[in-house]
Order: sequence, then C-alpha cells, then structure tokens
Amino acid sequence: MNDQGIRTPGTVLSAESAIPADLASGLPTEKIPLSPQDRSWLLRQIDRWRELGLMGDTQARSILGLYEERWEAQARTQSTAIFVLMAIAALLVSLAVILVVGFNWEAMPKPMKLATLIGSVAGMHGLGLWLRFGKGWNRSSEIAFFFGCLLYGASIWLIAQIFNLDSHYPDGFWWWAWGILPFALCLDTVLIHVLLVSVLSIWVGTEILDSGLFFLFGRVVAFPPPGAYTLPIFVFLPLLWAYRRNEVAAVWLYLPLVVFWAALLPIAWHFTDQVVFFLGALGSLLLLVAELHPENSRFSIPYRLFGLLMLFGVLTPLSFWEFNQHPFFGDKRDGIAALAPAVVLSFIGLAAVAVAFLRGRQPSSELEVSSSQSTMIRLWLPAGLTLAFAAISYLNLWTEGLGFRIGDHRDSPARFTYALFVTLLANVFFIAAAFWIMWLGLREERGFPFAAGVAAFLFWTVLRYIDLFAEFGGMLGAALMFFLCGAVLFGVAIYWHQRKRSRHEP
Amino acid sequence: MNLDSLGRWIRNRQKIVVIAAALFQVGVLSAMTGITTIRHWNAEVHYLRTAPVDPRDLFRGHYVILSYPFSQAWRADGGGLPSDYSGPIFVPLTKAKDGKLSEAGKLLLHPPAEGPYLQGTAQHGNMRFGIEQYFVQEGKGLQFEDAARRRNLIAKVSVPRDGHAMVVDLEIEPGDNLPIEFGRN
Repeated sequence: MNDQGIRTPGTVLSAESAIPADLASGLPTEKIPLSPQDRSWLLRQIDRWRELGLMGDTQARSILGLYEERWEAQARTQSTAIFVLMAIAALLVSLAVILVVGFNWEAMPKPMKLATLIGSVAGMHGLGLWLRFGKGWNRSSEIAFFFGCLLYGASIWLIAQIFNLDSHYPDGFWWWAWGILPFALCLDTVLIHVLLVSVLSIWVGTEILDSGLFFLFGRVVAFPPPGAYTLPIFVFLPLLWAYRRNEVAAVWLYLPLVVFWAALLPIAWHFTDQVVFFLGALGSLLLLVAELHPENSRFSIPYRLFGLLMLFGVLTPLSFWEFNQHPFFGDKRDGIAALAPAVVLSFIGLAAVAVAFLRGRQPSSELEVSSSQSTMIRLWLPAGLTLAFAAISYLNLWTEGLGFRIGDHRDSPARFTYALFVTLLANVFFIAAAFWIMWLGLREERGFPFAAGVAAFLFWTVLRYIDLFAEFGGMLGAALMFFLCGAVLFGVAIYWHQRKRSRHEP
Repeated sequence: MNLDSLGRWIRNRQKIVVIAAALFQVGVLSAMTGITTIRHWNAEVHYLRTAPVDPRDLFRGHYVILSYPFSQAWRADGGGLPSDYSGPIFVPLTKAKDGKLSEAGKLLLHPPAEGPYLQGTAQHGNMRFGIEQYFVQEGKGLQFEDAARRRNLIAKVSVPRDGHAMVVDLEIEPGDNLPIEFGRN
C-alpha cells in the first residue's frame, strides 16, 4: 500500500473481485475508477444479467474485477481531499513565511536572513526528493516540492527587499516561473501547474500592462514593446505534458492564460482599436484547433468553449450598427505601421485556411471516409471566420484613412458602407455559429452543445429585437422576426428527430 | 528528438531533472545575492538628501518611497530632455569637499566620461534610479516620516561603476533643515 492509502494496481483484493489467471493476462493492469453510485448500478445490472442467464459467475467476477471497489473509490476521494488540504496548508504556511520575513526584523542580520531563505528552499526540495525517491511517497513529495516552489518565489521578493533592489519587478515572476516549470513537467499532478499558471498570469499582466518598457535581462530595449514573448515556451511544454499524461485539467488551466496573453498583445503594440478583430480571429482559431482533435475528444472541449465565448463576445458588439458606425479609435499610426495588425491577421487567417484544407483532405478515420462533407463544415466555418476577421481589419483601416481625407470620419460614406457591411456580416456569422454548434451537438449526439447553440440563437433574436425591430419594425416587425426564428427552430427540431430515427431505427 | 521522445526523456530522468530544477532555484537565489554583493563590494558611497512617504508592499512588507530633487527635475522644466523620451538616463554625482552630501549634476542621455554617476530609466515623464525605495521593519516608518517633515533625511547610496545604485541605509540628520527645492538640479 502506498502513501495514498490505495493498494497498488494488480493486487488481488478479495475472492469476489479476483481475476482468474487465464483472463487476467489480456486485461488492463490498472483498475478503472468507478463512483459508488456507478458501482451500485453495475452490481444491480450484473445481478439482472445473471438472473437472465446472460452471464456466468466467472464473467461477473472478471467484469467487477476491472473496476475499483467501493472502499477503493472512497479511499481515492479521501486521498484527493487530503492532498488538496495539504496543498492549501502549504500555501498558508508559505504566506506566513513571506509575512514573517517581510516584517523585516531588524534584529536578524542580513546574512542570516539570506541563509534562512536559500536554506529553506534547498531543504524543502531535499525533503521532496527524499519522500519521492527514498520513501516512494509521491503525493507527499509533490506537496513538499509545491511548498519549495512557493518559498522560492517568496525568496526572490525577500532577497530584493534585503538589498532594497528596485528593478523591473515583472522579471521576478519570470524567474519564479522558470524555477517552477521543470517541476510541473516532471511531477504527476496538476498542483504545480496551478502555481505556474498563477505566476505566469501575474507576469503577463504586469509585464504588458504595468511596465511600459521592454526589459531584457534588466536593460531597457527600445523595440519591441513589452509583450511577454516567452509565454509560448511556458505553455507549449505543459500542454505537451497534458496530452501525454491525458490530463485535460491542464488544458483548462493553460488555455485561459493563452487567451489572456493574446488579448493583451494588441494593447502592448498600441493597436487598441484592433483588439476586437484579434479576439474574434483568436476565438475562431481555437474552434479550428478544437475540430482538429478526434471526434468526442475531451481535449477539444476547452478549446471549443473558450473559442465560442470569445467569438460570441466579439460578434455581439459587431452585430450592432451603432458599434460599427461609431467605433473606438485608439492609438493612431501612420504609414505602413498602421497595416501591421491586418497583415498579422491575414497570415493567421491564411494559415487557418491552409490547415483546414490539408486536414479536410484526410479522412478522420477509416470509418469516416465518406464524411468529407462533415469535415468540411467542421473546419471551414472557423477557418473562414479567421480570414474574415482579417478582411474586416483591412476594411476598418481603409475606412479610417478615407474618413480622414474626407473630413469627419465618423459620418463619412466609407464609414457608412463599412458599418452596413460589417453589421450584416456579423449577424450572418452569429447565426451561422449558433447553427454550427447545434449541428455539432447533433453530430456528436450531445445535448449541451445543442442547447448552447439554441441559447445563442435566442440571444441573437433578443439582440435584434432590441436594436432593430424595436426601433424600425415596430411590434409587427418584431412579431414577424420571432415567428421566423420559431419556425427555424421548429425546422431544426424536426430535422433532428428524423435524423435520429434514420440513424437508430433498422 | 521528437516531442514524444522529449517527454519520455524527461520522465526517464525524473530524478536528475528534479535535482537540476531545485539547484536552478537555489542558483537563482544565490546569483541574486552574489551579483548584488559583488557589484557593490567596492562601490562608492554617496549621501543624498531625500524625502519619503510610507506605503506598504504586498510581498515585501513596509517600505519607504524616496524622492530625490534630481528625479523631479523633469517634472519642473524638462531637465533638458525631450518630453516623450523613454530610455536610459544618467546623473553625474560629485562628492562635496566640505560636507557629507553629494551633489547631483544635470540629466544626461549618455554616461559621463568620468566620475561616478547614477543610471536610471525615463518613461512618460517619470524617472527611476533604483534607489526610490527602502524597506523598514513594520512600524518603524514613522521616524522617517517625522524626519521628512523636518526635511533632514539622508539616503546612504552605494554607487557601483555601472551606475545601478542601491540604498544601503537611511540616516536622520539632527535639527531642522530648509525644505528641499524640488525641480532644480
């Protein structure tokens, strides 16, 4: 038995769950986790199958032997709870250490303070090494390493305090993250990843929003502006770890960080008027990445969720006439520099289309050779949206330039044409994206995406009721709109019903 | 080496990687200590008149923000620099022959040919020289506030050859002094 209170896989637990030698040879060695509720259901079903003569005693024992027993599931849950409690305790103790040393006790000489800090980091990691490789207590060692990484970060700040160092403070978080990264890649749980993502989030935010100048190893660099450019390294390796270890939780942790960083980049480069197009393109790109995963993959869900949130978050303001007619004008740039964001978006869009084209030519699996049309729909909507945002970015820049030449750019003919075109396009994309999610739910036979698509469509009808029909169409116009929307949803419901019947009935 | 083999390589050498990571952390902390100590080992010590306020840092406890007459020059008359300038700046220091306090020269965009100087960063009309904060024990900031009211607080600053200075100590002069005239070099 290890320190988690769980017997090691493959141990014969009881006569009831023993796996016969002849059957065990071809079975997986690790028991499958099963909640007590699911186990009760499985026991009831097995009793029923045995009564009906569908299954013998040996088969029943073999099947049950594949899954965790009730006490094992309870021990696993308790072990996780204890692990979380210990991690929180380590966090609180580190806070106490920070506050004690931060108190800056004058009675303690500087060398003693420094020795205490460096010694505590070394000692805590030494304890972690002993627990992991000496005693084999992996989970306990993770707590020790986590505590050591917290102390390391605290020590960076406290050594700066001891010497009264006043330099580029986001660098402190950057060095902290480098110290945590190897532990995150080596260890087994997401605990260190939680710490790494927290530290990186603070670094990205402070580096881009708070520092103003780009510092490279303590020296000011005139170009480029501060953009936390090493973040891809910090994210790529942990994502690789997540896919290798089948830890989807890590993807849920790192993806918001990537979104946060990408959203701040246009701000760092002083293209604040282009942020909305960047967010839209990024959301579309995330949807494309989600569709590059195998069907029903758990790993596609975070990409899809964040992609849709970003996409609808951008399409909502863009679908309003007022937003496009009177946009926010941020930093102005002259000449070729003004084209930079649109050019970057073009490359992203073209790359997305190229990926969609190449992936669309390959069948998802041997069983899906005939589903090329399905693959096209899956890939081309996000790829097309990515390219569309690049096109809108060009149009926006063109409109601004033309408006300046004519006079008041806000009421120029170019701005009117732009506003009309983008408003119509955003509404078409909004509806297309809503139906795309409904279609996704139908394809994978999952209720949640289908419900999300219906909710998005209903949200769109409410938006249009507010800005269009309440203003121009009056009550009869609104009635017509709701009637049409209801008819469309009714049509979708009938289509789904017929599709399910044709699929499932012989 | 492909990505899969990189992952396997890390997993197979878990013990070595963990030890290396722990040593890296200890190394970073030791380097912070060592570089700062070596840089200021034979550095000149200058005494600069300063005025503090008393804020608090989330990570590092209580500290005193220090303000110097030369770092306020830009605010008053531009200090001879363009208003939109961002980048490194330099202030020559001269030790007074008849007194303890050092004198600060005019702001420069390049380090002076000879003599000690402070190196700082200008950005959006603000200047920082790395000597704008001094950490104190909790509750001990009041004496400095009191000294600030009497305008007789002196910062003991260690100035290495590259100008990246560090506050070593704060000293309170006895008696009262005239107010510091900010905005003049």
